[in-house]
Amino acid sequence: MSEQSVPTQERAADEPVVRYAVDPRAERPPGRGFKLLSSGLGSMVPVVVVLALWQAGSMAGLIDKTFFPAPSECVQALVDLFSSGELLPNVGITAQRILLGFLLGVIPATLLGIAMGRSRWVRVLIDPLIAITYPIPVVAILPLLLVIFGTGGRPIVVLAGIISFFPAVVNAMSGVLQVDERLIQMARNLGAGRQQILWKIVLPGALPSIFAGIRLAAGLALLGTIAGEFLAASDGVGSMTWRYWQIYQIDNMYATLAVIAAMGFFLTTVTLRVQRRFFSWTEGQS
Amino acid sequence: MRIEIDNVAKGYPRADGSRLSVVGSLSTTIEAQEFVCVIGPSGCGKSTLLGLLGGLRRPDDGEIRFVGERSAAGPLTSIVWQDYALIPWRSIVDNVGFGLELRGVPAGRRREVAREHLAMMGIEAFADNKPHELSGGMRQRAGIARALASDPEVLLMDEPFAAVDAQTRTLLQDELLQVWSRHRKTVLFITHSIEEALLLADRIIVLGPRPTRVVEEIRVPFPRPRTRDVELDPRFTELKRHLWGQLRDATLAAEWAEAKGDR
Repeated sequence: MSEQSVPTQERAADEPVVRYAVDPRAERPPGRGFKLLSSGLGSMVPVVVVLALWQAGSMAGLIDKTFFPAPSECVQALVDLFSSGELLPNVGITAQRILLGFLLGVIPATLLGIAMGRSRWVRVLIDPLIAITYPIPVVAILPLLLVIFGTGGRPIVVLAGIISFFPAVVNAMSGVLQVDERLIQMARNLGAGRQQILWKIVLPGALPSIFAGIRLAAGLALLGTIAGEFLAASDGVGSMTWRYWQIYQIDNMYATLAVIAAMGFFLTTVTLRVQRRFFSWTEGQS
Repeated sequence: MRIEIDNVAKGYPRADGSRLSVVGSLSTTIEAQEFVCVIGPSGCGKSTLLGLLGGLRRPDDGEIRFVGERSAAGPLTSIVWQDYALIPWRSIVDNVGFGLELRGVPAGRRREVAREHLAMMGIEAFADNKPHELSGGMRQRAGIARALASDPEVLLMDEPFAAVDAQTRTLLQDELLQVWSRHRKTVLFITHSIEEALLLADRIIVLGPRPTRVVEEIRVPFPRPRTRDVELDPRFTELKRHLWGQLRDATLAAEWAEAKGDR
């Protein structure tokens, strides 16, 4: 037997052989149909299908039109609301309230959250206050806001502000607290002062978490504004929805709902884009 | 600059209020331009010692003195971290220029210096990448580049090659030897590896278990410039056996202490 070649052994005919039965589905690649549906445009397919079924059901008389008017009628209602000049000013009013409430909540919340993350004194003083007020459903204090701020847009903006305050403050604080301690040590070793550590390590490191809080806050500002408009406003998209429900113009109600949904979708998409654009590095660690 | 470590002690408060003494009255001197390796059992306070030397912690007792004329523009020390400690949202070139940025060197100049150091470590091609896009070995090359670009008096290295695979570690050791022969910075290099210490150091300091103090100091006899061939020298094997003899008992003691929850 030479050193180079190792002889292969013949298998006897009666030697038992065992093989794995690997599930072929375990490594089947996604097919064409799946890829099509999961693409950007393809993801619209289920939405279109539901709307088409709804439309067909409505036309065939299978669905009660009193509660579920056909999508085509809702679209028609939307076009009418738009062309009568009723819709756009109200969208503007609502958008303004969302933005003002959002800023009113998020700016102080972010600053306070950063201060809480940086200083254990601020943390120990503020944390109990947040722990007590956070669980209160914010809509419950709307009557109080109406007493304080009267009617009109102001209590709604404040409501949106309060509701968006909480996720922003909590995320800003935890973002600062979770900044990698090794990076702070590294910077100190190279001679960084407290200010430099804050601006060059802590704030950029906390930014993804701060931004996650801001995203939540944006969604909640919308929620707070609409809820406020339902109950305490004579203008804005939310009040339109509420009014059309009360006077039983269901197609108009659906039209305004679609507008609110579009505003929510817009907020989510924009903030997600920003997140992907600026925080791609969070996908890996140093 | 020479570092005089004079009866330095450091401990931490335990949860029960008592004090855990980690470094206990440690004295030694590291000469200017000397390459010193520190080995010791795990948990013996090597990292605490590094924190003391790096200006991150104050000794409870004793003193650390940097003696001699300042010859570098940067901080007294810069640390090369075991887990790299690169800033994840910055490009490699801006990580390497970080020390210069902290002391106000303008952007153009610090990029230039950073690129020179990246070139020296052979990773200039990754200047604009983010750390998470690089392998462990590449990241540590960037870590070394950052430490050197900061232009410290003393380079402190905290088990810098412990997190990379064995082949890459070999490459990095060779590269460090080359780079160091050009810079001749004072180096204090903490390691678990006796072979690594024998390959790199002028002198090896052996630390004992907690509360740690110097057990032995050994001068490494191999001439410079040094290559991996020192491993073939019979004195290498002899020193290796001797050092392991020193470490084995201390390591066992440390393991027992840890098992008893004495941390």
